[in-house]
Amino acid sequence: MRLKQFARYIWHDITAQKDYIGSYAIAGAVLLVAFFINLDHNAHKNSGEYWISPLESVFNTSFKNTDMTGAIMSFGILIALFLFVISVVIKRNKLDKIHTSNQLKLQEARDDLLALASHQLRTPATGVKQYLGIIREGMAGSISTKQRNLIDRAYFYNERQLRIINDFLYMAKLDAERIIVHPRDFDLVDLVKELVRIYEQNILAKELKVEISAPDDLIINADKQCVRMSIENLLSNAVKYTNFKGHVKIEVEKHTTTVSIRIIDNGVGIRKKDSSKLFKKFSRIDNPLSSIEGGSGIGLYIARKLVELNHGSIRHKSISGGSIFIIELPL
Amino acid sequence: MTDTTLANILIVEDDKSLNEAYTMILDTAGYDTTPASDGIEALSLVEDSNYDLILLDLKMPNMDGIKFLKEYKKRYKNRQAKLVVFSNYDLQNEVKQAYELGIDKYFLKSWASPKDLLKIIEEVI
Repeated sequence: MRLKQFARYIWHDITAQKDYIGSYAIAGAVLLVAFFINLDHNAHKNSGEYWISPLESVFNTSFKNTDMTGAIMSFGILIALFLFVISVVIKRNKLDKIHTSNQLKLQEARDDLLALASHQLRTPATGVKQYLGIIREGMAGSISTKQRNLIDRAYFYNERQLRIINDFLYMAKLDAERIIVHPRDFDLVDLVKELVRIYEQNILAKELKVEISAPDDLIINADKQCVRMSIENLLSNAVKYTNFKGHVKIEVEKHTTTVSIRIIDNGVGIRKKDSSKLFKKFSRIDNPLSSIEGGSGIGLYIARKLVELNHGSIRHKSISGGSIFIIELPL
Repeated sequence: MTDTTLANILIVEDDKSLNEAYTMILDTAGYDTTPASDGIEALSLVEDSNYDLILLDLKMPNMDGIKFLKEYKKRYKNRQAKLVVFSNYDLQNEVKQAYELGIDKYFLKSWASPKDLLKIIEEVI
């Protein structure tokens, strides 16, 4: 507890009488006792008798030549204050613990709700996928090109929905720390090349020029699935948010203790004021392509969590006319 | 089985609409299908007939997929039916349990389009 916070607590507790009746009672009782010991002592002093107060016997002196009024009173006040402060500290610690455990329970309830809702949403989306799939794959008779076109649109919207649901479920798992990392040796360059191959269709559709600059091979030790998902998210964003005939460059470099994967595009870019929102949950930045491309708003959040689970880091560098995203992983 | 039109498939899925969709897909491809809505119904059907493949949902009321698998393996361990299991719940331990009980394939329901489903069935049968 920091001093400022502690001072705030004390002030709040003095004014929030109800919680601290016990502490006030103790403090008051000690003050009263100190007061009466003092009165009694003064009374005896004045009558000429020497009444040895408990304090005096402890210190083994007689105080006939000194006025102990002030001393006893202040000692009493000190004890009272001390007890009061201790009770505040104890009470606050208890309240903090309860608050933290409530927060944890709340987060757990949120995660469970998210997981349940996502699973429930998967069922109707699966139904739509099957029925639209049956029609578009010609299993319910022939359809015109125009009809196929329209069915396709519905089908791909549904696919987008399923991807979003998958993202939410994955995020719930990540937040609940139910993702277990299995590090092993694998070739990072091979992985990058494989991912580019997977996105070939999208790349060709937009006539993008994709360049990979990497050594022949680069073995790292990490969870391959985590690294794959993170790089894939960045690659997918680069492809999504780069315009027709744009450029995407992937640079894989080995440094002394780390490796870096840099994904550079000359797409719509990210404004300086939006860059703080980037890796946060549900943040979707407005740009000319965001409404067409769609997304769950948690891809980067997941990518960052996954990279960090593998002791790496991910960051964005602002450039004019595009974006650079850099993943760093330990060797 | 090389002749798919003779393959006998038991579809165990509690969601009626999904069950009908899967039935439609497999029927169109020439398979002979039978629907069941939970593990109990599936067990009684298996008692009377021999199936070449059982398409089994994991989460169902009354008797879920895992319980069905346990019972099935206990009672009919000499049967040759292929077991294809699917679910929309991607639970690691459930999938592991299913593989330990001896299934031929697991896939996530929401991932498979009709074409994907047929491909999986073809590969397994």
